[in-house]
Amino acid sequence: MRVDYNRHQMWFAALGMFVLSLLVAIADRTGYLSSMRPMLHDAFSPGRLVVIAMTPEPAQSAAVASAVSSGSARSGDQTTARQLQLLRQLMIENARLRQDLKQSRTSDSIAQIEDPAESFSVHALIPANVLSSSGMPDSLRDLIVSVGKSNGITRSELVVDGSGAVIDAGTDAGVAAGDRVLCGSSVIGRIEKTGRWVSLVQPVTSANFHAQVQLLRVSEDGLHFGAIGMLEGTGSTECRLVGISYTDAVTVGDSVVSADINGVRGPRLFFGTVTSAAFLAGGQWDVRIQPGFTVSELDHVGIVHTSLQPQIREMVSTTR
Amino acid sequence: MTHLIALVILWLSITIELAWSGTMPQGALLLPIVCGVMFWMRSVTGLLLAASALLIDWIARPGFLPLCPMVLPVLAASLIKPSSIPDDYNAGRRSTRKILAPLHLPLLTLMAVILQLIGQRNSFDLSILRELPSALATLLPALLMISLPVSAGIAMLIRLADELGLRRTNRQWI
Repeated sequence: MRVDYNRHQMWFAALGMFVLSLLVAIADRTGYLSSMRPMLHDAFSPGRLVVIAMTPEPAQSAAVASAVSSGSARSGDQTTARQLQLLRQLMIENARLRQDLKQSRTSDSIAQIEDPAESFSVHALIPANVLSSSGMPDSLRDLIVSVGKSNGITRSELVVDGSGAVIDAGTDAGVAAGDRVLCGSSVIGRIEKTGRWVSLVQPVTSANFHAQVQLLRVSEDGLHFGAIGMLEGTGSTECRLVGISYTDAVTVGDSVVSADINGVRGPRLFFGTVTSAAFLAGGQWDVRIQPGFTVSELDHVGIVHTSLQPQIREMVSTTR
Repeated sequence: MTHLIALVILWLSITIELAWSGTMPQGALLLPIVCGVMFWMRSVTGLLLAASALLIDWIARPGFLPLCPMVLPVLAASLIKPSSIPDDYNAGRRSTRKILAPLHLPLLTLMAVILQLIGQRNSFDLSILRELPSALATLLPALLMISLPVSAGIAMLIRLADELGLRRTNRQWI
């Protein structure tokens, strides 16, 4: 009798969870969970950060693994001596690379200070891991990345595909049309909400996404920047470009790049490619754009963080 | 106390998956642990705890449908004996069902993994049925490579706990 009672209770619990899950799925579709998601990730973040801190670096673990495997294959003091020598060489190499990196950073900052054409702002790329990449729909409705307020991230900062590189130089730094771009970055979206350790990304395809963009055409003569318009998300897998006058030229295949980053001139970031262009009754173009990223490969992203030059920031803080 | 430990283990497994989200397939660690918690506790509380962990994980990392928290408790309720009955491994005539009892946990894990893969699809239409075999063939081995050994380990741990009398029933010690 008690067994039946317990079994019935379990069945009721299972059915209750079924209904609850269904309700949660509906709430997710209607957007009620979007504010709850960063909070949940923030709740998991202390444990996650501890696990990351305890995990050895890939290079370090690979070196240890190779050392262990070679050690098991050979025997005797000779092997140990070789391993120690290798370890010493690696440590020296590591120290040298660190020194080079430090010098490079210092020289970069000095060059920026000395350049009179440099603007007041400085763009930095903050790397982040994607926490909710797997199982995400094509529309990228909720992307959570592993940086938040503690990393200085604020709302509306652009998120780019981390596999490419952000060129930290714009027209102010002497980059002009015709210069070859060796490696670009695709804009994925912008920061919508920030938690302490995580941030929610609004994708470029989201219905509320807006950004000022410029058309870019590649021809035999070089690169030609075209009309400036407003890119809007449509809520589907593509975007729309509005504000292009009928006197401006638009061709299928044109690239769409950022005109500015939150009102500040900065690196040109790739938004997508024009897939269709048709005239509207109001004398404007209806231009459709395919975003230039693949969702399934998103593991690491970068966030373009715009801030004042350190010297100017100090001056502002002292005047206050 | 058991409830608290189960809660901590579930929380830890989600944090580990989030920390290694780039290298570990989603659900590879959480699914066997959730199934293990259900089988260890054999109660309504265990069922609710495990299913809630799955639901929270789905909210944190959404897919198309939360199939695991929807279907897995139902499957578990049909497979798991309530804690008022001891897991009788050898008593009486050895029917096929009793012989297969230790395989229930890996079997439930396998079903959970398949549900997870289906629930992760971008949309649910007829094309999913055509793509499902190829998707399973590519994604399933990576998931099972971690989840099945973990599941087998938990099954052995449960059996060991039964033998040592560490897993209490409502009425008696096994």
